Amino acid sequence: MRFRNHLLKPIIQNNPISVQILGLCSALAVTQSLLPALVMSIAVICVLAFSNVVISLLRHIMPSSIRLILEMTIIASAVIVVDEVIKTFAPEMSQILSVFVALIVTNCIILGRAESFASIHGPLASLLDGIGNGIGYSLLLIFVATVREIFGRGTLLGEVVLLPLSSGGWYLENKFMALPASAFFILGICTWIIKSYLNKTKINQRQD
Amino acid sequence: MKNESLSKTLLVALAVIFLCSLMVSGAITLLRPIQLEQRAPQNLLYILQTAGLVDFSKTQLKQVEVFEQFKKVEIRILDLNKSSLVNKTEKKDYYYRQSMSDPSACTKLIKKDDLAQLEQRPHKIPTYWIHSAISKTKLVVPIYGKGMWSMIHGYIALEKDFNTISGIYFYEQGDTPGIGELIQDPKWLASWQGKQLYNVEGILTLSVNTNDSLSSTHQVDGITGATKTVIGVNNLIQFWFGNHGYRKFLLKQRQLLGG
Repeated sequence: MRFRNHLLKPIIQNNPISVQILGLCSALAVTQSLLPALVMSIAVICVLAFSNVVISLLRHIMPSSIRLILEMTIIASAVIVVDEVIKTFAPEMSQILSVFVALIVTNCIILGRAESFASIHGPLASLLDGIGNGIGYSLLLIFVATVREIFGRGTLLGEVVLLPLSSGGWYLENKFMALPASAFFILGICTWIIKSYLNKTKINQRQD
Repeated sequence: MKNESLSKTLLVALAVIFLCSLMVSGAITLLRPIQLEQRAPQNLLYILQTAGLVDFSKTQLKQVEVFEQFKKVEIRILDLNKSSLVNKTEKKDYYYRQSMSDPSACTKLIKKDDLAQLEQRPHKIPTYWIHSAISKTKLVVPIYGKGMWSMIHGYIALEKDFNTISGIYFYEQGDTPGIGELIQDPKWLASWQGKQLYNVEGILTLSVNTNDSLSSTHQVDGITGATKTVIGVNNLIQFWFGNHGYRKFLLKQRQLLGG
């Protein structure tokens, strides 16, 4: 039960983006269309799960004076490996994602989970927490990317959903959706909905 | 040993760093060969550019597209000593630049013949044949030679008559920065188009002019300010289309056309 919570809680209730407000920069940058968002999600889940497990295993022997540096070293190494894997097997995708895969290193979610969770919990709990947070991050990323791709380009995963005017259809593409700023608005609305839903359940629980 | 002691701090730091570097270098060693195989060799792109099949100054090509375009190109190895093609078609590009400095794969040149200051010339060199009705270019061949300071490397594309130039491209030079680059200027390179190598008697008459004489189909205008580099270009043309280069082979091809 406790382990299930580690996995499920970060997905909605303690979502890293909408509740903890972490990792926003990549959420703005890679959500122009769905495919890069999916690749980015998988990359973040892998790095997060790996770094959480390793840091959890080392938690008893890490001297606190160099704790942060060691955590960054582990995270950075994992990111390099993931970046190379993407470069090898999806070279065009790695051009689209450009520096954002490498910038997973600075994604606050990863160091945040390492510091606040993996350094005090066991490896299994940390693994689940890493995957859970990764999925929570991915869900929002995928949601924002879906909205932006459909309304910004009229396509989803490159398939035409709303035939755009420019190719003889009826849908006028929303140019704003193509800009990173639009992700702010969508994220804001998501945060609003999730938080007001969470507050409501909290009030209900108190009444019970 | 306490966690905070100096020796433990150093030990843990070194161990973590060692394991991390092992992981990173391991991944790269495993993945690099696959990456290299997927990357379209840059020189395929240069060949396509010279042949006029792509223009990478205007559009960026994906690797898949480069390979797709390159399917139109047949690679044949030319034996420069016999001035004839080696029979079979090559599947992969042949890197002549490796054999450039290998004495066993080269013929020594005596000073009188060594117009482009190469010292030695490979026995074999790749030639690229374009079999397409739309393309003006029929054949692309590599050329190289000494410029002012450095080796200039390029490709030259010929039309179906094996005499008219349809394109030229220099992809590498290390001459004086800001001046050497002038030979890579698209406008100047475009001025080569339509120029002819040989006259009716088969004598190499094409030259790059460094003085102001009238330009004709056998003369390319030089570049003011890059005189020495242009002399290098002229020299390498004289060498590669002379008797130690492609001349005999090209004239043979021309005869085949006539007959």
